[in-house]
Amino acid sequence: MLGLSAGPGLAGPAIAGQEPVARAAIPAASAPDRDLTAWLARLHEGPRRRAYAGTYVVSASSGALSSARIWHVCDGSQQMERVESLTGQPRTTFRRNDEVLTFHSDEKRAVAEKREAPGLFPNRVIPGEQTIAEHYTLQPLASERVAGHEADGVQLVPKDPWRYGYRVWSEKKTGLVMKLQTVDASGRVLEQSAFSELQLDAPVKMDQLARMMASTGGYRVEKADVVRTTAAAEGWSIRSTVPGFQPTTCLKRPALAGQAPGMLQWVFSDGLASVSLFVENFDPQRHRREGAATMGATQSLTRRWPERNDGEWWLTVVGEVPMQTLQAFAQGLERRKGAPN
Amino acid sequence: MNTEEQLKLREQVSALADGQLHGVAFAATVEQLGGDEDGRASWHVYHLIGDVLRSSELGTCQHDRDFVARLSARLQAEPGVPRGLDGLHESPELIANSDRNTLGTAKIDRKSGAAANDGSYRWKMLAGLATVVAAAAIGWSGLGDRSGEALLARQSAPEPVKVALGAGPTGGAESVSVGAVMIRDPHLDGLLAAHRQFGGSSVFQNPSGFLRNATFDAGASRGSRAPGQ
Amino acid sequence: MSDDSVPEGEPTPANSDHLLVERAVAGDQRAFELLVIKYQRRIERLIGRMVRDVDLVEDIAQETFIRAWRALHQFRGDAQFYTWLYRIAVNTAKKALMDLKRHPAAYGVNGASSDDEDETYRRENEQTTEETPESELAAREIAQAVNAAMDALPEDLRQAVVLREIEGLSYEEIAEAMACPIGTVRSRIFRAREAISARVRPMLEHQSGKRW
Repeated sequence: MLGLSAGPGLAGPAIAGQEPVARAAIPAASAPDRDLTAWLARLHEGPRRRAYAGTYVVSASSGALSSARIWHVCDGSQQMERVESLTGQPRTTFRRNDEVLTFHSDEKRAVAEKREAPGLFPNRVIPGEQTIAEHYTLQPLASERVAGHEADGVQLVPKDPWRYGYRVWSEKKTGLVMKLQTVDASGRVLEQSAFSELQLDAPVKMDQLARMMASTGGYRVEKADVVRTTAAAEGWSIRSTVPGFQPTTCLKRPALAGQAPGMLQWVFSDGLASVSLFVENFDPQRHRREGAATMGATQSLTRRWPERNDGEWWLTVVGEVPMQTLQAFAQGLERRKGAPN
Repeated sequence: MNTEEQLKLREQVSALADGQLHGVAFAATVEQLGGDEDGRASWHVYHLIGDVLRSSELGTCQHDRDFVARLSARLQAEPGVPRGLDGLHESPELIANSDRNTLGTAKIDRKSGAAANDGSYRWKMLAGLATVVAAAAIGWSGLGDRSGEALLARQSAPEPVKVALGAGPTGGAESVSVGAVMIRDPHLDGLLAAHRQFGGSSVFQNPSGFLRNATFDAGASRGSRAPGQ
Repeated sequence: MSDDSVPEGEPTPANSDHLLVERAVAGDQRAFELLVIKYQRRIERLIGRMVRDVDLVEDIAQETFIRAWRALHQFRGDAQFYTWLYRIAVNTAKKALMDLKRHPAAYGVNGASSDDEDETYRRENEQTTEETPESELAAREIAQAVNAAMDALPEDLRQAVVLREIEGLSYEEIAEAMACPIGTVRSRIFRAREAISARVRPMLEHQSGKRW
């Protein structure tokens, strides 16, 4: 590792093929490394053991806030959650393992979909554990009291500038994540998700949630059709991936609220952060504005692809990573030779 | 504040009057009302309407504004009561803790001496929420066009990041005044939701309710949707 | 639901009073002022039933809110805020009347009646507050504007606002009564309020250039 410089500067990220330039760690008290595996395992145990209810707040550095009431229960074979939005449109989301049903009460519409997230109950295997160890360093942080509970803190420091860092506080007894911060290279907190109040061992009943989830009377139930595919089958590949990011999922989505059918979503992950590449056929009617936008820890990049006036595709890259990582993905995308247009 | 935002705040005020806002939505709206003329005027007229509907006698409101202004000045002069929102600023928990029927004993959990690593905590300043439309919580900040060079320059330290971008200027070293324009982009919100569904930082077990972004179905975006959509 | 009657024994009305009080106790004066804006007219009318002098009514009303502000931490959340405020108003008015009795000349008003000791002070048939002809006229005009606006509302909007403001139903109850989602109730009430206030706001504009 290169000598530590005085401040947290951001050295240039690796260009494909070159060694990444190590960056100075976020200044922290020197401490021995923790066992990452043990910590990750504990992270996943938290929501498995207990029933809880609380108020969850997601806030971005811009000051924007989103919050919801959460009820959660798990009995070892099933995990259920009910989330009621407190901000924005009134939404109630129910989840049973990977099945998700979102009620749009104002439109009498219920949208059913599958959430496929790594590490989600009942999967015990945490994919990407190895990758996490290779690209982040675990460091301890001072304990904090969050929403009335004592929580242990750790910091996940990225080893290169392609990703953000994380600060995580887990409730001491159960390991439940109480507060999560995504931080950038200068230590600035981009986004925070935290319980503002939490009642552990709340009397949340599985059968009650199940009954509520099943109450779709009067609602139009829509199922999102998503077709699994492979990038290769769709004619896409990526050269020189960003270090640490592996492809995890590729799927075709149908019309999303008015879009033309056939949008492709290709997901990459480094174990903690993920990036989605959304590809559509270019349509001059709908695709008017290229640009970059940020929401909390999430960056997005939208542009025509290839980057020419006659590019046939419209690409949007979204991820909880620095903008240069999104650009590297956009640069690395390739249309396979012989693939149809 | 333009008319669309004015209307959005008025809608929140209407809901607030009927006890429909809680937690952060409540706090955000009340915060915004503190500095918003039209919002407070709406709060006044909505309640006036209710009073008049119940009894036409209560239409007398000639001096309402004067009354409140006079009282406000006297309240300011009151000793021993904390002025401003210092207590609230230090404890985001207090804001979101409010529950419908429990008054609680308003314990202000002052986090005196935030941990050293909380130095650049931004959202503690809930007062800054005044510019955020309360109804829609999170919006995208447009950071300039083409390849996000503006953002690049902002995020980078002095070293310009040299990522080959093909045609177009190299990553600018000049820093950009990040005029974070808050934009609404339902299309982008939809992609974000799709992204979270299959990825996100889900290893941290964050609740699935946040798959659906708060602004997903709020209002039209500017320019990113074809007419007629 | 009578407006200034002590709402004892009623189900929790749907409002944000408790939440606003919570913020006010923590030091948010503006939150308290929202409560003042909301209840000022009702409190003044209540006091006006006990005290004849218009200026004194306003003074007592001011005093009421100052006392409420000072005593906020004593307000227990198990009661309605307006009930508590009502009692402060009555006590403040009574105290003022007692002082009046002792020094009627200093106040230059008629001595209070022997009803002083009675808690309720409700004399519905007698208008005791001396309102100026101008303010009476203005009040009538506003009432007329509100009624005209109500008549012009589409049925579903009018029904929603009647159920809310006059029947005092919560959104949940209105949703059930009108067989529609709560979001629709919220939207209808808002649109009704906006339609009515469109007629009323211009009448309020001419008030002294003071700002809210």
